Amino acid sequence: MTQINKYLYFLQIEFEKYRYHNLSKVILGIFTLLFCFIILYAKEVVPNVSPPLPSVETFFEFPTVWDYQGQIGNWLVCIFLGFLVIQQGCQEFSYKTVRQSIINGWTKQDYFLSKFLVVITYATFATLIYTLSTLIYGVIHTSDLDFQIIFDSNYAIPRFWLMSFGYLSFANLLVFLIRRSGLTTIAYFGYIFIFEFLMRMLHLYYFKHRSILFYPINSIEDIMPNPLFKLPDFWMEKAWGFKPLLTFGEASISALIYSIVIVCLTWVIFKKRDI
Amino acid sequence: MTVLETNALAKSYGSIKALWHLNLTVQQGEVVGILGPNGSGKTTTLGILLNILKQDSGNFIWFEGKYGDHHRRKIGAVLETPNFYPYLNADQNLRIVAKIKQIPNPKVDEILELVGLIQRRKSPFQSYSLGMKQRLAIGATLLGDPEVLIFDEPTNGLDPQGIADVRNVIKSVSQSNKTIIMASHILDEVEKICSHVAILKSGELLASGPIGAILSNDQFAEINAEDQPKLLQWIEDKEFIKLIKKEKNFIECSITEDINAAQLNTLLLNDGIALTHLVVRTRKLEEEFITITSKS
Repeated sequence: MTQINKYLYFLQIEFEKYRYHNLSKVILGIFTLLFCFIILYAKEVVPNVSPPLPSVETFFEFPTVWDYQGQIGNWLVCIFLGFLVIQQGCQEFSYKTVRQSIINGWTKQDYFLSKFLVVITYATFATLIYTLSTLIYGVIHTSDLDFQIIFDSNYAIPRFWLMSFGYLSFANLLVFLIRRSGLTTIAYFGYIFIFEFLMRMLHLYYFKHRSILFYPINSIEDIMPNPLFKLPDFWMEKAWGFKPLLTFGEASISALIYSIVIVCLTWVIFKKRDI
Repeated sequence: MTVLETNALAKSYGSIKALWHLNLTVQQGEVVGILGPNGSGKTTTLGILLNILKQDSGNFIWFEGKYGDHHRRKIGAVLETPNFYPYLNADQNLRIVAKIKQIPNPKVDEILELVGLIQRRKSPFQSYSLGMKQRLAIGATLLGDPEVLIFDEPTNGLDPQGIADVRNVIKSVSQSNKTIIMASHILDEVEKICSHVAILKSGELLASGPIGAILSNDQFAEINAEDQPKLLQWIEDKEFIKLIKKEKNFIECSITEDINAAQLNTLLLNDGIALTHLVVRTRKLEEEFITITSKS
């Protein structure tokens, strides 16, 4: 079997497992619908805003639509696809189908690779939705369209993929580490929304240094930052002595390093433990 | 061909020795029963052999290394519980197993027919009774016509009908000259199906070999007479008969292999003891098992 055929073989089995899985279908459906249409809500929330806040048109026009859709995707991938990876992965442990896959002939490496490919597939799926939805909104709402303005996005598409891969790899790590659905879900959201934030605040309290920006989830988050966070840059820089966001380059490189470490750690944990 | 050879396999869970220097050899076509009380290391042994548990020391080799890392595709195994996707039906679950095992044309219908689930092939696994789940698991082991079958307590938790169904399926498979390794504590079942046994206790192998060699040649006799004290005295005086225990309605004793029921009866009559109850039988695996495990 060539490597490509092997990857397709793993993905085909994963597809067979989840094509009739109602939870997966519901979560992917909600994710896709929200990702495609939630930006329309912006028209209701911010119909007329005064400077320095942006006009509602910037939400839909090139090139800024890449940032706004990217930020929406940031939340949705983190919440919905992260949750989906956790549910699917932990169910394999609770149904004991992980051990049965090994008993039936897979090596641990095969099983790990199949789940790694699922993470890549979901990250790619999310990036595809992001690209298509952004292009459609941008083309409809931007006057004077040209190729340059459409893709003036600071490599938004590969950045979005890397961000998605980062979140989902982290979810996958917790699945292999904790194995229980409830605890893994709590650990995932607890770390992202509470624990890392608290650590960064403590870090900031004792050392006012921009190293607080380089925490794993913050690095992943800053790949597709909230465009509105760019506005208070000046004041926060004055207060803290540094800008509150990583540059795209810094965020991408640190997220890539963290993702590699996370994937390697996941493999080591799975390899060493009994199933 | 040697199907399996283990060399000093050992595994501990903290301070508890689950398995201690296990040396076991299984030849092609043998039906091996791994016996032992709960916690004796049966499932740990099978878990190690199926690569889901890691041994602390020792090693094992399947099929003399013929299939390399893919040896498990040649083995069909159920360990502890039937493990399937509950929302998928029997057909879908078996097709996933077949894909993992890389079986090109799995005979799913044939197998569902064999385990009596063809009528329920489209029902989700979660709607099955425990007996049906176990039968599906046994069916899954048969996919791709594996060389070795491993069953771990296959009748655990089943009702009498479920036990009978599963036993029938295993019996019919055991007649197909496949190598079978079966962990069980239902000794009657093992005695009926297996050609060889390995007896484990507290992780140690106490005895192994063909069932005939494990069972001693001694016979058992259940006897009773109206004058029971006289009978007990008679037993005490003779060399060839030993008292095992005194039950309410009979006396259980062991007798040497050269004495049969008629000879025993005649000897007793000659000494003026008329028997009211006499049963002579060979030693059962259960009795041998209790003797071996209680000695250690």
